[in-house]
Amino acid sequence: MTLSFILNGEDQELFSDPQRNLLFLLQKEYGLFKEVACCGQGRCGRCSLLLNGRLVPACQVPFFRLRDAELITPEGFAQTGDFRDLWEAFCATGSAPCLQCWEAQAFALHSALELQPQLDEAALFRLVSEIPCRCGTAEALVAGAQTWQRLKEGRRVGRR
Amino acid sequence: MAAEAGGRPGPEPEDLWAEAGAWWTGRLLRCPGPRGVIRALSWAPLPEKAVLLTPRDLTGDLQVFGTRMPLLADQVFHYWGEAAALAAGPDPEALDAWSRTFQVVQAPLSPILDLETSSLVTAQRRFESGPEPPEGIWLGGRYRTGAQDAFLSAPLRARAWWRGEGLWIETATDWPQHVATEAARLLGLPPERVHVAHRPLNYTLDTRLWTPTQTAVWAAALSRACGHPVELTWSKEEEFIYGPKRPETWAHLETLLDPEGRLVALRGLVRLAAGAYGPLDQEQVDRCLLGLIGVYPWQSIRLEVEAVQTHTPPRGLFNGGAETLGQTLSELHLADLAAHQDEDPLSWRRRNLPAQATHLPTGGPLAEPAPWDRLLEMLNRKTDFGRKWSAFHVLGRQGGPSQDQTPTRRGIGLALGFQGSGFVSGVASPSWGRLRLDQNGRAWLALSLSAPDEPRARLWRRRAAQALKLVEAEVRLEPWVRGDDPDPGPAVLSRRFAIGGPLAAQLGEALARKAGVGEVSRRFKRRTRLKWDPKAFTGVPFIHHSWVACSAEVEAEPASGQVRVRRVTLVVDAGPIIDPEAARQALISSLAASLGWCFMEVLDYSSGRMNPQRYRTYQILRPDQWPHFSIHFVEDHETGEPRGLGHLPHAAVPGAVLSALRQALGASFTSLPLTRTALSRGLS
Repeated sequence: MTLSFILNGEDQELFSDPQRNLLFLLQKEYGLFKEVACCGQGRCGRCSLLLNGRLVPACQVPFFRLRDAELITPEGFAQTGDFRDLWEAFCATGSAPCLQCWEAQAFALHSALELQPQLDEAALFRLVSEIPCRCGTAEALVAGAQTWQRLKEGRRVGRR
Repeated sequence: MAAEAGGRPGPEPEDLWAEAGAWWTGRLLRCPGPRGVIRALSWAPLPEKAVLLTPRDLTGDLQVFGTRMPLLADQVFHYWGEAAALAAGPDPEALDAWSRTFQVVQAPLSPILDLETSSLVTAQRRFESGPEPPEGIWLGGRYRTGAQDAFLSAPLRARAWWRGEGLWIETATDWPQHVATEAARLLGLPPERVHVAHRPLNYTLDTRLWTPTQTAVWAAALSRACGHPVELTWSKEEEFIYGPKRPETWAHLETLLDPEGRLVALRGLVRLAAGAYGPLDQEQVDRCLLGLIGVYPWQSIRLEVEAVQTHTPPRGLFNGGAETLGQTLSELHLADLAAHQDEDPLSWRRRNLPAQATHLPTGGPLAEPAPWDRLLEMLNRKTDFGRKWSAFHVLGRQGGPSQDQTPTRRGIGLALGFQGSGFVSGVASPSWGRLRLDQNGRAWLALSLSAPDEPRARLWRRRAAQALKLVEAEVRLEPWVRGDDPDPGPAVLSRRFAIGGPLAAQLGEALARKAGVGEVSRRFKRRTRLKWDPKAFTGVPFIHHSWVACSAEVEAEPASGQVRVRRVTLVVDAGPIIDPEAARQALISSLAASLGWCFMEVLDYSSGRMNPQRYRTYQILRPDQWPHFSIHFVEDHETGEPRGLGHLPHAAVPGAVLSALRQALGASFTSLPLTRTALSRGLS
């Protein structure tokens, strides 16, 4: 079947098997998620993307769900100002990002905070824990996300 | 810029790979059994344009410091999933469909050896030091540690492309020289024609030292056969099942104590599973032995460590891995001894350790004195260890036997550990460095260890800049262009500290002596190789040591078998800490991994095959399951070298946790991982 959808702001049209999983297609057709260590079972959070505003694991989404959908992947998110702000907030903790989980973590934190801006530290920590990694950056990720929260709130009320 | 390890510097990899055009996909075809004779290979007609390489087309052994592993299993295979053939084609889906038709006709061989049953020793070290031990009662037991997916599996990918007269390879590795050397040797190319653009692995994954090389050589062979650029990937699941793991071990250790309870003699046998080909086995055996001996003042030692072949994928941890295994086993044993004497483990160690150990009990000097008195004092201050241990001890006694109705029991335990940097079995060649000053007064530093990624190389630039009295930014790095110099070994993190820093400083000092003119080259001076003769034990085992004292507090419910680790405290002496946040994160990462190794990370095999459910059920400790980690550095180092510290928790945490559990539950636990079933068995 052929479907049209929006991927990271660009109109796309693609022919594929309706049951083919989205992660495979994004890797093969668009070169996205190339370096991702996905478990293929929807539990590691590494291949998460926004499908019509909802965070879902790409490895669990069949192609037919893409009809008229809007997709934003971590690669698309990385082009945004929010990503840069999150990056700066994280680097301000004195930490270096983990090459394996940083993108997925930043994307998940951003998506959650967009929906619920008042998430507390414990909730953020639980969120970070959803993406398993051997790196020791969880505390720094939460600290970075909280800094970003404050920055965003400051902007909302007119402070810089 | 991605670094270039072999030959002359080439074009930027991104441009190169873009120019390559359509990539063909490579597939690895594996043997479906633990051990057997290959009678024949059969397959359906290949998809259009696809190519197949069998052992007839691709012969040779990959060499890892003297260990040989066949590129493709020829005639006999030794582990489940060993590579039998390779295929590549333009259409991955067609190739996948065809792969299902590929069959290895085999005659199974038996027995299938595991750690318990194997007697095929691939490397060993027997060490007897000190006088014949006197008569007495030996205390001891049998201890076991399980296999662990030490760094969490991830896809492994290599790309290869024959372009012009050269071979271009891209892969993620900490050992690009090995990739270049082995690809040139196995594919019959002059070394200068092999160009390796590498991306350093994330947290210097010691365990994956040879798998990137193996994958790169496979991709290169396929690319040569089909005439197209080829990409070959191990999926996350493949890497989990077939990649190298922290090896399982068992030990039988016994100690003789004098009437005052002081250590007199240690004897025992340790076996570690080397997997099918035993890569790096002698290095691991020696490191494990050094870990076992530790710095405790044994008057007499009779120890034997063996690596045995098992019919599982090649194991092999590198650098700190095996010595932390030795220390884990030793600390489990020492926890037993302290408990047997009903003594607070802190006082027991104070009584049994010299305040400043300067020599191994074997007589060999240590690179730096072991500052046990300071570490134990600091740990006691930070955790209130003595008071807590006494309180839990009294409460435990009042509670009666562990199977009573008392809902929760608490305990606190302690263990010590060290991490050594540098090879001990002399397998690697020396490292080289070069420093030159250009006309603009800028210094250019190149080290043969690896072309470094920028953040980690800061230490090297700083060391050279200090010697030259330049600002750090005035020292730049340039790739090491490999000539005929031998492979210096992988650029894992502890080697970057232990070798790269001093070498950069030496180069800076040498150039400063020449009034900063021209160019200097230096070789990293290695300490003398270890001589294991017990009568004349010589050599310094490691270039550096870092030290740790660790305490763990646990809470356990005997009735349900539930265990909660409440707090783990580390006091670390690793020289000057350059980047406290990075050091803290390295320790947290290792703390979480070592706790996972203690309680939940189970890799089980049946007849050489990993439990098929394991990939789906393997869990690591998530951040929201972490106990409170309290990390303290000994910070009064004004001089000295920064040292590696990432393996320290693995050396000490299991001993501390199991010693705490022993206090909490009044039962001895000697096997890792301590799953709920194992805990119930221990209690009963």
